[in-house]
Amino acid sequence: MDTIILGVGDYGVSNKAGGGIKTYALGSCVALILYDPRKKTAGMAHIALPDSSIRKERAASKPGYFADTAITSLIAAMSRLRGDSRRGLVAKLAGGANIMDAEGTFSIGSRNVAAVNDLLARHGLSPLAQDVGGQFSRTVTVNVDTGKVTLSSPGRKDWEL
Amino acid sequence: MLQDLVNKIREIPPLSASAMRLMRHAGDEDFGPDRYAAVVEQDPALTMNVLRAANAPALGIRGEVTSVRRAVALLGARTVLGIALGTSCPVVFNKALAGYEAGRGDLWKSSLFTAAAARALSERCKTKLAPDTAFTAGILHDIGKAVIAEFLADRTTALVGAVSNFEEASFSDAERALLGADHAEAGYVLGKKWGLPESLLAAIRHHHQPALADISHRPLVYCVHLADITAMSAGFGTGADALRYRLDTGYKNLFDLDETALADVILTAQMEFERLAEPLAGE
Ligand SMILES: [Fe+2]
Repeated sequence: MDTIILGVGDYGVSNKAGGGIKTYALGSCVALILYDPRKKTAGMAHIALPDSSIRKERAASKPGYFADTAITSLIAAMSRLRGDSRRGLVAKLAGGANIMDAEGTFSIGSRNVAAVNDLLARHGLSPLAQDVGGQFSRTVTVNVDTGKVTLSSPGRKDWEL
Repeated sequence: MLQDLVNKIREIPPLSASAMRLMRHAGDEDFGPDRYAAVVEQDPALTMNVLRAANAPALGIRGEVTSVRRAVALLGARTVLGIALGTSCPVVFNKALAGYEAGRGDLWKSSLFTAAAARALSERCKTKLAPDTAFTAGILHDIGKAVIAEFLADRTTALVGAVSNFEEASFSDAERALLGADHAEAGYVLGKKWGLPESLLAAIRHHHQPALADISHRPLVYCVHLADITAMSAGFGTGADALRYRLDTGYKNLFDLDETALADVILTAQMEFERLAEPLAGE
């Protein structure tokens, strides 16, 4: 399989038959997956933090790192490949795990998930499916042919979204 | 089982003399670049690794760096210490962790991110905490994983299940239930054998239960506790145990840290990790 691997803060798109996009060990990060079933085009971003306003220079060099800049960049990259805007796009989310924190300062995953959902809504999208939260790290792959998302985590059987 | 762990620790070679010396002088203002370079020059393997790092394409230095002094000046003391620690014991940092289902190099990356996060967090400590000591403690905190990983092999599903079902409160508790000791305790025994200073031993031993540390070591121990959690959150864990721990909110007495400051720590650590990862990649 022709698989694109994304690091932290990367995003990528593909319409290659038989291809995939994969990212490892999300932790509190969120994988935002966009898919166009008609044009068989997939995109993914590995988002680490909710808001780019904390470091604009970083957002310029790695837009996928922050939820706000990741969504606009990913939608734009998808549009270039599909020749269309947001119509017909399906969104899925995975990741956003948290450490057990009684007070919530370290609930980074929850803040990421909330930010991505909020921004998706503002772009007129809502996630079709999400596998988020919990206390474990996920590895995620999207299949370009089907839009099917496969998740894995050490000590568990793989599952699908 | 405990005897197996003791035997395993006995097999692990000591840290190099140069790594020990650099570590002892970490954060010592009298120990300038010249003295740093002198220690490096006495160790041919370290000299080679430091020169290779200084000539790494990522640094973008024009012309070849052939002098250790210049290499130390270019890389900075902390990076040189990182190279010394990371390369002085490959059986610890460079092996796959069987029971954690972590690949070769994952422990090193996780330790390096933790070190970068610990340095960033040291600035938010309400008492004085030397950034280079925090960095060093971050590199060393999980060395015990290399000791116990093979004894956890094939037990990953059971360990993970025990924490998910709330039979055990954390992955450390699951390790103790299975082996009689967890990776923090195993790391402490290894660190003691290596002759590490008390403060670093405390950081290794108590990084998942910082309240158990002696009060004089708590700023450093809580710093590493938070840095470790930051690393796991940022996706730099070591597989099965990632995030299966509890945060001790007692850190609030020692650190000024709100959501925005934490986001800044994560980003700062990520950028330092990216800067260091290539020169410190090892082979
Ligand atoms: Fe640990």
